Amino acid sequence: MRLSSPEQEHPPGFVRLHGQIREAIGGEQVPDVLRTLHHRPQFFGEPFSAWVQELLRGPSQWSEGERELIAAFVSSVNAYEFCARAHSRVASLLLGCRVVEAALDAPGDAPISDALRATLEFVEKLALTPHAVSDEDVAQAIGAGVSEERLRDAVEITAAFCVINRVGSGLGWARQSARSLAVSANALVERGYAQTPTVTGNGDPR
Amino acid sequence: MTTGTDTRLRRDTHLTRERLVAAVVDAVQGPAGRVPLVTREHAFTLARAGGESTVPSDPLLLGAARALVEAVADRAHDVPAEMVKRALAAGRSEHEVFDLIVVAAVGGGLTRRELGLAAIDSHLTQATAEDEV
Repeated sequence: MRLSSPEQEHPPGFVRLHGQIREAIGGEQVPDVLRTLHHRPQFFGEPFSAWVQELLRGPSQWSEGERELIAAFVSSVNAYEFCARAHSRVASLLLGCRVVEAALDAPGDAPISDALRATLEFVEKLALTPHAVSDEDVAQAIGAGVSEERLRDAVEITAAFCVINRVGSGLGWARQSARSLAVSANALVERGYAQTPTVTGNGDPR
Repeated sequence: MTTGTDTRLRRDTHLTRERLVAAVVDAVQGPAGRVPLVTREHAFTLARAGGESTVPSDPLLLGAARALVEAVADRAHDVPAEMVKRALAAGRSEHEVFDLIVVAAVGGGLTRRELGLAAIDSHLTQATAEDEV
């Protein structure tokens, strides 16, 4: 990372948690995304993780795999490799590699529903040229079978990943190893995103 | 068919999300930040306006620091390391640079949320009006 404070300064409870994570990934460095979220967690990591947990694991008409695919797709069109790799890995566990790879490469030809395809088209425009998004784009997506609720969910996911892609890009997060990615993906499937523990007054996770 | 339970669930989901987004904004503008609050507010305004806004003169948000905020808000990839170095060299501390990057990122992301949801609302208003004619 470009700054040493998010690399090194974490409340004591998180330091212990990082020791456990390092052990799980064979002694490798804790992924920069976690070190960032755990640095002064009340400033950003804690509320941001709660929002992402709600979006990717809370109630939705999209499956968890579809939501992970939207997150990976947004990161991919944003050309932010760290998050694109991480979330395509999670999506692959839930939807299968073939579907995810095809959707990221060429959504027009991928074996996904028309509604998901239209949603990916919509979120690409929202991520890259947000001021150009109009009610015509909404009409097009709804015409392709996307419900209003699904489209709202996709907008929220796009927003959250436009936030975290920018944080990672600004801080210069290091690429995760294959082993780290695999462990992270399994953890996110099993436990979701609410793994930033609430911090007590003495800096310990609860 | 939409039932009363569906409607209540949707309303609850919307309220939950609004509360969570408000918590993110409150946090980056709250006491855990290291940059003075007024500078974070200016950086947030700048990020949400895509760099086109004129914010009041702020001694901590000039030159390299301002350029960093605008770059992070504008692009989700390839923010040059040099921009971070320049902000540090201009006298901003590591904690201040961290704050500015996060605030700019939140501003950039939430602008997209606002524009996307507004487009949906606009479409629904239009569709309802057409139905009524």
